[in-house]
Amino acid sequence: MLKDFVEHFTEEFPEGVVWKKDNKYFLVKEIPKLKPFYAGIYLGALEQKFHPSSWLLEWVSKRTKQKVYVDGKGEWMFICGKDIYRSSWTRKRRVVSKDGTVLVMNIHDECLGYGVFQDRKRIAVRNVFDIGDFLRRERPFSRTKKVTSEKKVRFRKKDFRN
Amino acid sequence: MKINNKQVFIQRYRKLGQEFKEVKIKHALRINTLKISEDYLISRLAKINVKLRKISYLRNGYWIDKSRFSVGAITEFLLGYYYMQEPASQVAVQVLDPKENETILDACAAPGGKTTQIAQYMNNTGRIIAIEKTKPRIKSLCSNIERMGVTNVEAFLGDAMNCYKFGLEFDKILVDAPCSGNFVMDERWFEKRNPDTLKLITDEQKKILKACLKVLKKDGILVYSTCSSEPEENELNIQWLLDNFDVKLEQIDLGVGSPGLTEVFGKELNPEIAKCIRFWPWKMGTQSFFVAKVRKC
Repeated sequence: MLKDFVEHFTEEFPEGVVWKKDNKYFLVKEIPKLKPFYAGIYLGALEQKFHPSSWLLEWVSKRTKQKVYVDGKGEWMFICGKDIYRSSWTRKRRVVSKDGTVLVMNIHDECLGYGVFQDRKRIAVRNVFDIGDFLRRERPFSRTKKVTSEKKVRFRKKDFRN
Repeated sequence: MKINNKQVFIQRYRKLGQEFKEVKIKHALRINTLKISEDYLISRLAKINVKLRKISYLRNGYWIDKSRFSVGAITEFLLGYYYMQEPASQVAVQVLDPKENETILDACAAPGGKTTQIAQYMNNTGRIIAIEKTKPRIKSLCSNIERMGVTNVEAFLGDAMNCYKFGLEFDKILVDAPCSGNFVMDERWFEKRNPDTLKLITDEQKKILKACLKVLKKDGILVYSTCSSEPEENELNIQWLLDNFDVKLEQIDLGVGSPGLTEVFGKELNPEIAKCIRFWPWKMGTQSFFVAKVRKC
């Protein structure tokens, strides 16, 4: 999944040894002997989808043109786990892969996450993963989290039917 | 019962020469220079009406003077450009003074404010071993390590008392010990705490100190800190350390805080303990804090 995610955006791969611990991937100089919980550069975790780390998002964003740029309002909505509306685009220029996977960038050229581009729809990019996950994972049992994920599931089903 | 407890503690502070006052502290943050320059972040936040003011005694610490929203949930925070960190707690790592390429142990690491501060001062070089005892808290530690762009930490789930199992010797060690906390950060602190229960906590603190001293290199530095006001967890632990181990105290020269107490409830302590520093909330406008800098002989 890590490889699939990176290949969506670039043919390059981060230099180093990939160490997998449970569902998490780390980039290390050598496989740790002391069995840590966390080591080196965190690359991401395989949940229902692949959740890239902020380091990996930044790394791929420097090597790909598959990006959409959003304004301040779109940025806020996206990091709150929402999708992006067409009205939030700041630049017309966009490059989208065949399966529609795009990085979502703010006006400072910082990567906020990634999603799936949907042409000819009011929702332009469906949120797959965003950096607001940092806050949501701190509250794993909160009501907000459950509602958000249910919403996302509904979106997926609806999109699929269309 | 609630009032009694509070009165007991207030009486104790009076015996230590302090007059208790309610304190409401301002929010503060530490700019993460691993990811962004201080000037750029200050100007960027100013554009969204967040005004920062440098804290004179801290390397990268700022008071949040003005903000119309929570700065703990905006993009700049999520990108790891700063860490919401109380000023007094930033002092401990400044006293530790981590240098590039050192090997450092952070014995009680979660949620990672100090761990990421150590990495920042080391410029992501060297090696930090971070230990945390509980799983939910180590997850929080790892999230913060990731968010702050730290790459030189190995985090372990375990007990700091077992740090000898790494088979390593450390240049420096931070023991930010589990403590009883303080009334500034926890409104219900007086309801929860009782002076009679402090012994359980101090026993654990001593065990951690003893274990960490064993893995510290000769001439290495151990910084001991707590966010407690209670001398049992602070000066009395340091007195125990001086009595039982071949160590000496180093002067902390930050130009802030009060000296460590050398007389506690009628008991004379080693005068060297005055080299430690204390943050009394009503004097500093911060939470309670205690820092000691110990050198292994």
